Amino acid sequence: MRVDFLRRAWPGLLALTCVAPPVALAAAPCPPGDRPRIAEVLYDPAGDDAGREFVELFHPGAVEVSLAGVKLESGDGSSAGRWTLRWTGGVADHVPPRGRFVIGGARVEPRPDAESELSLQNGPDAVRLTWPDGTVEVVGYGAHDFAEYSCGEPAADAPSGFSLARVPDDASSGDNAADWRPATPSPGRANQAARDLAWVRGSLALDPEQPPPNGPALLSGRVTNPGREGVEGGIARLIVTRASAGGDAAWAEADLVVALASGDSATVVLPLAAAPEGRHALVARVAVAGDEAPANDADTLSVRIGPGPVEITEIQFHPATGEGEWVELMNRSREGVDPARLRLADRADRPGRPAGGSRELAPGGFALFAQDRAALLARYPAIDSAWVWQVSPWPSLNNSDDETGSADAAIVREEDGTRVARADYSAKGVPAGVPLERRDGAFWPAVDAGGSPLAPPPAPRAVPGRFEVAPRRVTSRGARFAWELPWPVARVSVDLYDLSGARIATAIPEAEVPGRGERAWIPEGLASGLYVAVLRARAGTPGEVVHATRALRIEGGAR
Amino acid sequence: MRRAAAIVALALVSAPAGAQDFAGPAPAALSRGTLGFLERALPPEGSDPRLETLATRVHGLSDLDGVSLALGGGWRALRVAAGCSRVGVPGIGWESAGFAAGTALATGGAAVRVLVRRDVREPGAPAPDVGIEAGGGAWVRAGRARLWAASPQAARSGAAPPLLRGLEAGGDFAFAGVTLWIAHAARAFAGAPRTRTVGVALTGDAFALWVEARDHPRRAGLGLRGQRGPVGIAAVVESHPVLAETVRIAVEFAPFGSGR
Repeated sequence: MRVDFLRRAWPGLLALTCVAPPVALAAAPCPPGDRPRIAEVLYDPAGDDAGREFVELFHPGAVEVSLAGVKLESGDGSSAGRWTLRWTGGVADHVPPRGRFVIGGARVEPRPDAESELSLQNGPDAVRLTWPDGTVEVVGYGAHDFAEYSCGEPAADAPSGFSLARVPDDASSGDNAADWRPATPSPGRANQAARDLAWVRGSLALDPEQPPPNGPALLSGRVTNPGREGVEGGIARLIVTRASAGGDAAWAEADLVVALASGDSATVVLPLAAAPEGRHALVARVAVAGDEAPANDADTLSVRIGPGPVEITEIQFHPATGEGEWVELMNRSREGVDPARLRLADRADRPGRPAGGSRELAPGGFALFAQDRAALLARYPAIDSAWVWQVSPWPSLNNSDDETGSADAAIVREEDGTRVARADYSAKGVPAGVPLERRDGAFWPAVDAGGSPLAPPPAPRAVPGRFEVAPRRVTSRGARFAWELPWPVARVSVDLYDLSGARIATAIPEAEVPGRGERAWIPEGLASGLYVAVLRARAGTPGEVVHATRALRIEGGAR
Repeated sequence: MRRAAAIVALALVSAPAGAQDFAGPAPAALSRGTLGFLERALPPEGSDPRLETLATRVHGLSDLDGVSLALGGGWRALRVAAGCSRVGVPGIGWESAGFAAGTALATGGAAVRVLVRRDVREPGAPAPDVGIEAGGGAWVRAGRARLWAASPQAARSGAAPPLLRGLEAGGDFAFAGVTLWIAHAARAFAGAPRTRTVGVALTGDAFALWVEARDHPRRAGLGLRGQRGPVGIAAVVESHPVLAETVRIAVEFAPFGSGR
C-alpha cells in the first residue's frame, strides 16, 4: 500500500524538491501590518547580562491587542533552525494602542510588563515573535549566514551596553539593517524621543590631554540631536563638572548656540577653568527643556591634570645589541604603583599590556617595560627581573623623525585610558644604540652608551675648561666627550683634525644637547695617531659660540 | 750661488703635510735644512756642519708643545744628520730619535731616514709603545727649476706614528730673488684628504720672507728668517680656519759660516 503511494506520488515529490527553495535560504518575515512589533532589543547589557536583557514591543495601531499565545524565541545564528522559546504571552498580556510592552529580566528598570530571563545570544543571532495565527516577525543582528534569522539584511551588532532599537519606533522598510541602530536602552519609552539632545559617546576630548595644574585647557565633544524635532540655538545648556577626591565642582558652562535639526550633530569646544593637579572624572551634560531621553544627556571622561604618578625616564627606541626596545618608568608619587595596571602605547596609541614583572613600584622606584623581556635581561644580567615587564603588543617606537621633527612618543595610560605620562622624542643626532634618558627636564642621549635601566642617569661630571676627552689615549673601547657650557641647552658638534690640520672625521654630528653633558664615542675607521678634537657649541642666540679643542691619541686604529 | 742654494732649500722644506718631529719653519731649511733632512730625507746641498734647535706649538695646544735638536753636516757629497725631539705631554706625547744619510750634488740628491719613536706615558702606565719608521727622498735640479719627492714613512713597524704620511712631491722655480713652489701630498690613509700647497718667497742674502697656502681646509702661513754671522733665526705662523695657529721657531748655528 505504501509502496503504491510512493510510486504514484514520486513525480510530484521530485518536482517539489527541485522547485521549492531550501528552508534555510528563505527570507524571514518582517513586521506585520499594524500589529505590535519588536521595537527594541537589549541582548548585551553592560556588565553581567543576567536579569538585564529585554525585548520591547511597540503597537502602532489604534486598538488594544492581546498577546495571549504570542511566542518570543531566541535564535542562534550558528546554524539553521536553532530557535529557543523564551516567553509565551498569557491572557492578561496586552498592548495598548500606541503603547509598549516590555518582556525582560528582573533587573530591568523600569520593571518589565512580563518578567522572563531571556538569555539572548550576542550575535550574529536573532529574536522571533510568532502570533497564534502563524504570523511571524524576525529581527536579526550581526553577520548571518542564514536568511531565516533576519528581515532583509540583519542589523549591525550593537556594542555592549547599547540596545538595538527600531528608529523611528514604527519603521518598517522590510530591512533590519535600515530600520535598526544601536541606542541607549530605553525600555518602555520611545526609541526616538520627540525632543532629545545627547553627547556622542566617546567624542569628549581634552586639549591638551594632560594639561598642567591650573593651566588652560579646552574640552571638545560632539552634541547630537537624535530626537524627531529640531532644537533651535541658544535654548540648550552645556554643563561640565568634575568629580575628584575633593568633591564635585563646576568646571565650565555655556549655551549651545547652534541649531540642530533632527539627526544633526555639531562639535562644541568649551574652555575649562583652572583645575588642581590630580585625576578627575569630567562629566559633560547637555540640558534642554522637554528632553524626553535624559539617559543620554551626559557623558564622562577621565582626565588627569598635571603629571601622573609615574614618569617616563628612559627610552630605548633603537637597540643595537638585540635586547629589544624598552621604556623605563619611575614612580614619582608617594604611594606604590602597580605596573600591571598601566598600559604603554606609542603615538598611534595602541596600548600594550605589561606582564611578567612581580613587584609593585615603590616611591622613587624604577620599572622597565620591555619589548623582549628575556632578551633585555640577557643584555643587562645585573638588573632585577622583578621590575621588568613584557608588554604585549609592543608599541613599536619609530627610529627616525617625521616632518614635525618628532620620531614618536611613549605614552603611559591607566587601565581605563587615563593618561599618566607622555614623552615625545626626536631621534635626530642620537647615536645608534644609545637610549634617551631624562635629564634636566628633557630627554638626551644617555651618558652611558648602554643607558641606565632601573637606575637614575649618572650625573655628568664637572668639566674644567668646558671640554674634556677621557681617556686621552683612545682604544677600541672608546672615550667620552664631556662639556660644560654657559647655556642650559646648546647645539654641539665635535670634529676631529689630524696633526697636519686636515679635518678627518666628525665624532658628534651637530645635535641639541644639555649645557652640561657627556657623550660616549667609539672611533671607527680612523687611523692610529694624534688628533685634535674640536667642540663647537652655540646657543639659540646668534653670535654666542663656544669653541674648545683637546688633543687625543687613538691606538689600534686602521693602518 | 749661495742665494740659489738657499732658495732651493726653502722650496724643499715647503712640503704640504704637517709633520711631527723635525718639521721646522722654512728658514731653518733655507739656511741648510738639517731639520728638513731628518723630517723628509731630502739632503741639503751644503755640507757645513750645523746645529739647529726647534720649538713648536701646534694649533695653540700647549699639550702638544715640542722641542727638537738636530745636528748635521757632510763631507764632499756625503750628507748625514741626527736629532732627537720630544713633543706633547705624558699620555699623548712622544719622544723620537732620527738619523738620515745620503748624498747631494749641485744637480740632485737622495737620502734615507730612520726614526725611532717612543710614546711618553703617564706615571704608572704600562710600558710605552715603540715604533720605527724608515723612508727616503730625492731631489733633482734642472736650471732654475727643481723637482722633489719623499716617502718618509715607506716602512713602519711597532707603534703607529702620530701622523701618517704618504708620498709627498713638489717642484719650485726661482728667478731674480723670487721663488714659486707647488707641492702635493697623497692620501695617507682611507678617509684622509690629499693636500696641495702653493707658496711664494722673497729672499735676500740675510733674510727670507714667504707666504704659503694649503687646502683641506684652506689656510695660509707667513714665515720670516734672518741671519747674522753664524746664527740664524726663523719663525713661521700657520693659520687655520678652525684650530688655533701653529707656531714654529728655530735657531740655527753654523760655526763655519753659512756657505755650503
